[in-house]
Amino acid sequence: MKEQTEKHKKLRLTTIAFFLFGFFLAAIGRLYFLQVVEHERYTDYSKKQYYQKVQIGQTRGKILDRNKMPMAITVPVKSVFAHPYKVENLLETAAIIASELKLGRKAVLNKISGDKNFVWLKRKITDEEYVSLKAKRLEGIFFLSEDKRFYPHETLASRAIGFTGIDNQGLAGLEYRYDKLLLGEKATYIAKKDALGRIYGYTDGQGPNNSFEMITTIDSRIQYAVEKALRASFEKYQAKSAVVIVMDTKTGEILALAEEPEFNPNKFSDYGVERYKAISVTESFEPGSTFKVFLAAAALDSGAASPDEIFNCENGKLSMGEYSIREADNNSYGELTFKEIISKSSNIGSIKIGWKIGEERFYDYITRFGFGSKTGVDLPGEAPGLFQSVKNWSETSLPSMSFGQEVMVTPIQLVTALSVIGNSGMSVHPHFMKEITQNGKTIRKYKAPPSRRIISEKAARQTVEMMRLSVTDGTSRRAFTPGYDLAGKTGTAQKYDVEAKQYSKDKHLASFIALFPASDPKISILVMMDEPTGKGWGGHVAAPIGKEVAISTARTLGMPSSNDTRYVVDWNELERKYLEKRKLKVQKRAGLLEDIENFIASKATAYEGD
Amino acid sequence: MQKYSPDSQLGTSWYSLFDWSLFILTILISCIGILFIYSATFSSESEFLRGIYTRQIEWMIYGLIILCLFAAVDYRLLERPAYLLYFIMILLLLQVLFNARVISGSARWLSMGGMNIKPSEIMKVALIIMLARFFDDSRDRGDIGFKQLFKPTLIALIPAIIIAKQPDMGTAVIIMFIFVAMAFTNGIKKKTLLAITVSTVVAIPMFWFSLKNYQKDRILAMLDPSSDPLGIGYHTIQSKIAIGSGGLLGQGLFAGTQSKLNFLPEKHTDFIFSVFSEEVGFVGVIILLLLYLFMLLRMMDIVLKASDRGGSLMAVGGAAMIAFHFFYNVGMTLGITPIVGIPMPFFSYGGSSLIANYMIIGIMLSVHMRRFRHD
Repeated sequence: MKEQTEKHKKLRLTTIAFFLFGFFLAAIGRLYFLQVVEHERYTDYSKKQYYQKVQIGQTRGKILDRNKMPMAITVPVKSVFAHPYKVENLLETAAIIASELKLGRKAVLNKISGDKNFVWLKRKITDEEYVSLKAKRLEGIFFLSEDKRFYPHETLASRAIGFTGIDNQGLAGLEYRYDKLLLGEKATYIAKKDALGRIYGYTDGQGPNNSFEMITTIDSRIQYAVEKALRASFEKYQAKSAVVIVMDTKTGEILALAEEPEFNPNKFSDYGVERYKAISVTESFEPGSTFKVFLAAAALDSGAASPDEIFNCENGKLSMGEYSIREADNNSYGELTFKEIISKSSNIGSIKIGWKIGEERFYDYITRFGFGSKTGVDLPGEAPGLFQSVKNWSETSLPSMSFGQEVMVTPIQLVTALSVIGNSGMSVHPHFMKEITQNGKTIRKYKAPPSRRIISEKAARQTVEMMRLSVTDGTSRRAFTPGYDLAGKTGTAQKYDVEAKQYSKDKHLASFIALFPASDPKISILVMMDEPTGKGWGGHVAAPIGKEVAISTARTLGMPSSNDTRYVVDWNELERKYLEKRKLKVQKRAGLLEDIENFIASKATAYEGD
Repeated sequence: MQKYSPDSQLGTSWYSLFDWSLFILTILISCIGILFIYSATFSSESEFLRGIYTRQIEWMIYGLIILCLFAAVDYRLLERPAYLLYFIMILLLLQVLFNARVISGSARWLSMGGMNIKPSEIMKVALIIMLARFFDDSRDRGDIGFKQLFKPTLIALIPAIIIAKQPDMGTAVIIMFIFVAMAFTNGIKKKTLLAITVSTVVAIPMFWFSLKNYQKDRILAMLDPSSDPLGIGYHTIQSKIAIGSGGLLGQGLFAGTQSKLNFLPEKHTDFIFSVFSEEVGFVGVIILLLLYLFMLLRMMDIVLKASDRGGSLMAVGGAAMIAFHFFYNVGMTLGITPIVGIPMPFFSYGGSSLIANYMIIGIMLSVHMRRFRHD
């Protein structure tokens, strides 16, 4: 019996062993199939899973001035985030973070005790904050490198440059206008990623290149001088706002665009939205007497009047039905030539010239100068300005427009139209973008639309002469600069008071426009100060700024003064001298090295000789 | 240990009777396991996971102590408190069921003095001892029929049902498998065996409808993993990719991309075999499988040579438990069997499972050492 049980037992165990080996063979067969037969297929699967084509944005391109001085750059900074489920001591962690990052303790606690997987605690912290917080080694708190836009010159040209938001998206100015270009095309890379899709490396070991650069027309040296001059006056007159634009008369390149009140794009969130806008392009004003320049140009080009034609200026009072027009500042003139009307800025004379041109023709001219339509300058939010079409004009429309009322223009329109006159009557296109480069190679250059003739060269020349007369012997005398040949025109526009429905007595827009050198204009300048306090006449307030701007621009660009050459800085000459000096030094050092080598060699020879 | 050696009267010392090969195989496989737990987790972001291999080393040390204790004690002494042990484990299982931490959708863990213990693992050992005791006590020697099978079936079914309720279907199935293996070894009448086989075939469809949805999904996904690659079939597909991309010689130790990049789920527990296969390849896997094969053959030898019915039954239960775990886990990673949480014995991370396995080895060593004693 016992033996039989033993036998049974053995039989059973043999059965079990049989199954055992069966299973083994099955497993090995399966393994062979997966690991040897199908190996390639599974390797492909695996690679498909962890290799991924990714598109990666580039580091935002720099914005440079025309001399490649950086105006906007991108720097890596740290941002702090938390994985709340990993945070160990909530209260303590919240307290430390709040004190380190200067945040509210409660707000931090709320964030890290939520049930989110990921929360930002603070984006773009300072290096000091990073070092100090990192040393605390908090569980569940992590850092991430992010790009931060930085404007090294802070307020310099800030209205033109604009700024970017927290995710480096352009929000204003050139940053907004050229957002796509500065972002660059997304580059495609083969990335290795984990199961959560997190990328931890690239197969070629390289990140995307980041050498997109935008070269602007701004000259930061001129910009700096302009801002300095403007700020001083702006503070002195406590104006509402102020603008200076310096433009290359021939090309339309904007060399400087300064606006007050100032704006620091590094701290854009400290300001209201109103401060973001470049009022030079977004705001329209009634220009006042500076507009007479275009009246003159129209009269001369159309042949309605010649420069020496005499007009009766009615001794300071012109009656038109129920209205009467007076000269500014209680002046009274008898007979004036056309030239004098412009240089002395006679309102009555201008009206008479306007009448000679006629409504239709005048409307046609100001339209051709670009008023009433956008200049196409590459800043966002440009306003087209405003004036009525002829059929809606009243009896007083033409007279008012003759001296710059009933017409709204933007500063950029005004300085662009001015440049047309300076550019012998050919159209000019204002712009900031000079070129975009990638890895030092130009990939896009500014291409101006074809130039059109607006007025004849002769008419343009004669208009400039009238402006020159205004500086030497007219309302723009305060801009007179010995040695610098300036042509200018002042303007003092009474501001229309919307509530009182009449022109205000004490609110002015003081302005000054200038071209120089008058003989062959290269630079166009516009100065505009809105609501300066005190006696805010264009001649008093704006012309001196214009003078200062003209002098600094001339010095920076190496335009010689006819009688005073001391202050002219020839940058090319300076650079040449510097390089020569350096070369000398290098040569000297090389010579010295050679001497030493010779000395050693001679010693060596001597030694060999022994 | 020497003092207690029951065979000293025969003039043989305990160490010549000791099954060194089984002991060394156990330690060897455990050490390879720890190496690959480290490989699976060292690059993890979680500090806890990175340190997990040291915890496994700790568990292994506890396990060795327990193993020595079980080996030193006469296995027949274990039968004495069998009922008590069984009863306590049932209570613990109930305790877990009603009042336990929920980990990945099921209640399996019991917190004891800072350690998380899975009572269902220890239950397997308790059941093996309990069944051995029961069959040993039984006056029915030789093959038994339905009537005599009723009680032992109940003994196995109670814990199996509680564990299935957790729900932990894998362990419940293992419990029943242990019972079947032990009852079969003990002897079942041919007629009864036939009847059971037939009724099992009939019962399978009924079993299917009693499954929870996620359990059904897992079985379906096993049959066609690509039908839902990101859902239920994900585990199987990722495991197959890991094993398949291992190739003949593997991607190299610590160099498996499937585990390092977290594509492989449960990589340090249920899918550690996939990590191993990816890194050492077909050749390495064959060597590991041979180690397991030797281990199982040693266990069968112990069963054969056991000096009494109790020892033989305990060894059968233990061998069945280890074998089932092993085959099921390998089958799961290879995409042959449905995914249920069954770890690779000695290899996967998990303290309770390791301790239970070491208890079994301890019992086996004890049975083997006392093989020449006769009643």
